[in-house]
Amino acid sequence: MREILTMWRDTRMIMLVAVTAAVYAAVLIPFKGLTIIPGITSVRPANVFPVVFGLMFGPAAAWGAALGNLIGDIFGGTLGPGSAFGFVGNFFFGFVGYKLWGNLGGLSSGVRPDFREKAGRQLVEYAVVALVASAVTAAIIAWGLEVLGLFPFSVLGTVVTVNNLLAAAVLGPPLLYLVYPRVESMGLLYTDVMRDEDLPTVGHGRQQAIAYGITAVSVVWVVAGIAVSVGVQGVEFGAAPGGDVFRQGGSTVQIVLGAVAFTVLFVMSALSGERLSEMTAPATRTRAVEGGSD
Amino acid sequence: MSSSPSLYVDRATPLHRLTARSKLALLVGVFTVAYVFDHPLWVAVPLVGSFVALVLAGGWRNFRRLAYIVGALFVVGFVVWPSFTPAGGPVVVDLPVVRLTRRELLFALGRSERIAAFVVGGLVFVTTTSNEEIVAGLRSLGLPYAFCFALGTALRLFPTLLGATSTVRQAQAARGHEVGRGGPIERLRSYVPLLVPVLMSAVRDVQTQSMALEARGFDTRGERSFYDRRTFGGADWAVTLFGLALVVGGVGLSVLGYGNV
Amino acid sequence: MTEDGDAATLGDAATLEDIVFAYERGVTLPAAEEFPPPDGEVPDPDERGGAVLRGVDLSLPAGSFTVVMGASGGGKSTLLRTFNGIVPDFLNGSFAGSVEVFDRSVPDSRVPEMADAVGMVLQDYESQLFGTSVGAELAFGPENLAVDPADIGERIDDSLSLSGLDDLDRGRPPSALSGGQKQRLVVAGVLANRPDLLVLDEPTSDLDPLGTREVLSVVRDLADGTGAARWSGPDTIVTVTHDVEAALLADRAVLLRGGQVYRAGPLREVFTDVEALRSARVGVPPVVEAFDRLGWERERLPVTVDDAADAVVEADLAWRPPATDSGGEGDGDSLPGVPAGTGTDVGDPLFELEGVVHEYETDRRTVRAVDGVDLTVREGEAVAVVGHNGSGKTTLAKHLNGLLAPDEGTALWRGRPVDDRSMAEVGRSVGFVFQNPDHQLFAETVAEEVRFGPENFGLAGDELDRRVAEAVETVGLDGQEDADPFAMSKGQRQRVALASVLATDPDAIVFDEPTTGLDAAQRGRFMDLVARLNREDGVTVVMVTHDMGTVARYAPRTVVMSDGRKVADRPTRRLFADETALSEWRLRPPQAVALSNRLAETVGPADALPALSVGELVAGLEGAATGEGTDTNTDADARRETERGTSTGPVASERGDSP
Repeated sequence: MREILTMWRDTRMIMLVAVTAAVYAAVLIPFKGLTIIPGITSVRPANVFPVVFGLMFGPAAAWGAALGNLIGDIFGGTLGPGSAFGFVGNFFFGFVGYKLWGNLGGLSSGVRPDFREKAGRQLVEYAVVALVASAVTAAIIAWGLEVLGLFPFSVLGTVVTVNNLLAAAVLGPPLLYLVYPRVESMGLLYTDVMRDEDLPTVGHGRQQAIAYGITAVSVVWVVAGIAVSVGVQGVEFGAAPGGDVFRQGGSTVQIVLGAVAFTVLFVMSALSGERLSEMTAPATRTRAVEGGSD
Repeated sequence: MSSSPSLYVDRATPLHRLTARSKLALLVGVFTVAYVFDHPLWVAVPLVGSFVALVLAGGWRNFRRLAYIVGALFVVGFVVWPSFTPAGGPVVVDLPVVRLTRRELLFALGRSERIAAFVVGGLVFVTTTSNEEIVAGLRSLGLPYAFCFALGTALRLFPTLLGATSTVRQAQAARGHEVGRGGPIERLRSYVPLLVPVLMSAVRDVQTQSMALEARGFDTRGERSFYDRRTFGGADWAVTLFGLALVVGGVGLSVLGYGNV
Repeated sequence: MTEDGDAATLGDAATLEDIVFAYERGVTLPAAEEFPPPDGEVPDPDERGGAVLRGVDLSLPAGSFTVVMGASGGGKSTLLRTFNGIVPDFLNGSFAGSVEVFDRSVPDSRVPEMADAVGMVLQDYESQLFGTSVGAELAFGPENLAVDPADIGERIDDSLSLSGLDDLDRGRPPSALSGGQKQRLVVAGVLANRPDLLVLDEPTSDLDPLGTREVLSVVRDLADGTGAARWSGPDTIVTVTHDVEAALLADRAVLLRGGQVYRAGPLREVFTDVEALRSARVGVPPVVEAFDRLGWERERLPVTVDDAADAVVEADLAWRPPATDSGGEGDGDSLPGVPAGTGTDVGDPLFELEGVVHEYETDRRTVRAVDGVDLTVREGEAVAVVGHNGSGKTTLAKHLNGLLAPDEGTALWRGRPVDDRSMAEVGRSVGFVFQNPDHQLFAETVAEEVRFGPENFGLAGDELDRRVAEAVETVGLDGQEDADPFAMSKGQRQRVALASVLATDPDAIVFDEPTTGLDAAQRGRFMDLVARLNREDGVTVVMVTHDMGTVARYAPRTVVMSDGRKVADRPTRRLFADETALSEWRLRPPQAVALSNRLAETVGPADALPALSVGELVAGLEGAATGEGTDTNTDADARRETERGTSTGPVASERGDSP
């Protein structure tokens, strides 16, 4: 996870954080996409960005998605305690992609995500990435709003997962196909921008084990959270012993589940590596540099 | 036609004059009060307080802009919460499809008010605090400079990119492209010709921007100085203490059993 | 700074030796001396690849002001980026050679470490502003350098004063400033670091005429060293520019050709070397070109309009203007056309705007961007719409194809309201080329990009293929159908955007600032293409532009917008004769026009209408022998030939002539 911190040493990575945040917010607000409940939930095309950016800009995309969501709250007028969870959730939305790509064993395509060679296998790998990213984001946000007593976990757990997954799954492959090689030729992939010593050095075994771990925790968390929330397995919502103490924060079981899941997720993230930088060979690459006439 | 994206209202009210830090402290107090109580009468206090502050700070237009969202969140909260609340007390609503006990009703109302209080409270903050002050405030809370710089730059780029987004939409419309037609998948796919130019034109500038930054001496590895930091005045201290009092008072009263359903 | 008087004794501010640079990383570069001298073939400006700098030796004397010129892709900007270490520290391709600036070895330094010595201003001001307020923007540099906060206020005052921005409210957000103010703020922000060497890379390319003038006056004052008392500004300046006026502020000039220094020396010496300028694909200053064509010796060639006006009087030459102002406003038809021969075959009304009003909401108020404009454009016309930034010209143009609907008034297309018709119907007949091609390009290849429009409009099969092929050929990109538009130069990207509009076979095309960011050669190539579409295919052209050279050459009729209103609508030649009105509207005529207006004052006739091109200028000065010399179409053709052979290189020849 060190790259999450070391990336702040590089000017280009900092600018990528700012630009990805601004683009995310600037497309999030006007492009409504598919409205499900007016004013509440819609499949927004912008929700593809954190996943796509994650695969290109790595840690800068994680911070960028987090800040972009915050800017969306500031300009959208929904800045509040929930914004903190939106921040963390969107951070993971951008974070998961570059951690998982190439580390999913049999599910991985083994090539960079440009949808040129082995396109079918890339689609499978991408689908897993999009699912995990959407699930973990949904779980964190739903958990947060449950803790704040704003909405039960099941409401946002399902809504956010479905919205994010739809946008990311439908738009991701065509977007990466058109954009990835171009960003690569500009020399702006994180694997090109960051110095090698700033990237984590983690063995393949651990990388893969952690990638599977993140996948499992994310999916289990959102599924279990929804189950708890709707009262499956007799875990009734808010039914603290005695049934009378009905305090802020809703279900104790739900909060404990989230706390455990998030801690596990955090520890795994801290120990994680990334394999994308091995798939891109930065040695000789033409750069299309703009900004002057030549 | 097009309207300004910013919710900041440039006035000189007492709230505007406070530093972002003291406003954040106040906000924490208000949010805490809205959070610790469940009873709609108690939650109404921070909600109404925030609303009055918003209007006094010149934010009525902002509220109108968001009234739809606030209303929608309120309604959804109100519809959802009864199913997650144990029944209790007398039945107050008895319709063929809906049967609400007093407890369910009060609880749902309290939660919906809480949502509204959060939104309105946040709105007071963004109405009275410029982007620059938000960033300076975060910085003075001890967040690293590079992080605050990225947020500040993103806030500055945001309106520019919003403009670019609308230009791209026009450019593709002029070529006969329509978004949002067909089934769900098709409809989403129709955004690809819009997303690619927006994304690429934003990313294209990163090289130049970074170059310009370093040429001006920007270096997160080196030392830097800070010019013109806002001083924390008497009013700021008073407001911060008031925020703190709200936290302590709110938590205390709620522990003593007030404001519950 | 030349006032220091002892530039020679101060030595060099910067010295470059044997610089070789390629953007590819890890390439084994040939040594500087292995490159052939810069006389041979030079690659097309629109193509890239290989080493950009191929053995550059150059020194900037302390206290000098140097202008670097050369074709696009010739390495000018790259060269400037060696002075503060962007090459090779930031753009770390493959580099060899030595760069010393104020006795510091630049290649061994990181870019931020050079920021106290070298200041750099780039073309795109939007990419260079980082502060949320004017004050924050100016404090940014000194904060980066860890300057004591107590001293920053003084630096801010000095920089604002040096940039002519003393009156600016420091709390204002930069986004609320005009283009010229923004670029001056960028300059001020750079000056706050108190660099001894100032590097300017195309500082005026993105600005309207007013903004250009503002920025140039700042540069002029910096060069004169007439700055604030505490700090008089940077001692040494180096700039890259395509703007003749900007170039003439310098005292030394360097011509780059094929990544090498081709000529270097005092400005006059380099600027009168017409052969060398052409060979380096640098636009010859119009005044120089005119007198060169008149057969004057190099030593006597004037460089500025003032020099030229004096020279004509001294040489006792007569001025036979292309036309005189014999009638009132209405006699546009009797005037000679424009050099490009556009807009001669005019038919029925195509666009009719009546009382069009368009409003925008901002934070505080409602802005009338367009305020009651009537405008009729007829079939086959070529009309320019000019005006300062924010004058409403782009907003007006967007009503022509229904991108915007009027809040009041009507917009008709062939006699029917535009907003009655779907975008598909109007868009098919009226193409719109946006200022920035990057706001529309998205497809994987040129061919797919060009197909997008006609496909949306329902074309398919062979007809679609034929249209696409034709459009690509017309813009001279045949053979590159499978290329990635994003990897192309700005000039090529703009041509892809044009092709994507041409493929729908429109009756009219509206251009919004089509030449912004293009250099002289790319601009000429692009506009010649537009002119041919108008002349040969009868495509009606409406162009919003702030490039007065383009207006003079390609638009017989010009509409002037100011603060949302139409303040003038007349034949361009007549418009350009009235310099008082032009300056009131914050416009400025091109050099050839300015000189002929001056001649009308000094040698008469007083009612002369100006020459719109160098060809007309030459014809009017040689006049007597050839009779009228006002056959502008012939003149235009001859001129185009010259340009093709020399300054613009192998143009898309006449490929587009097939139907």
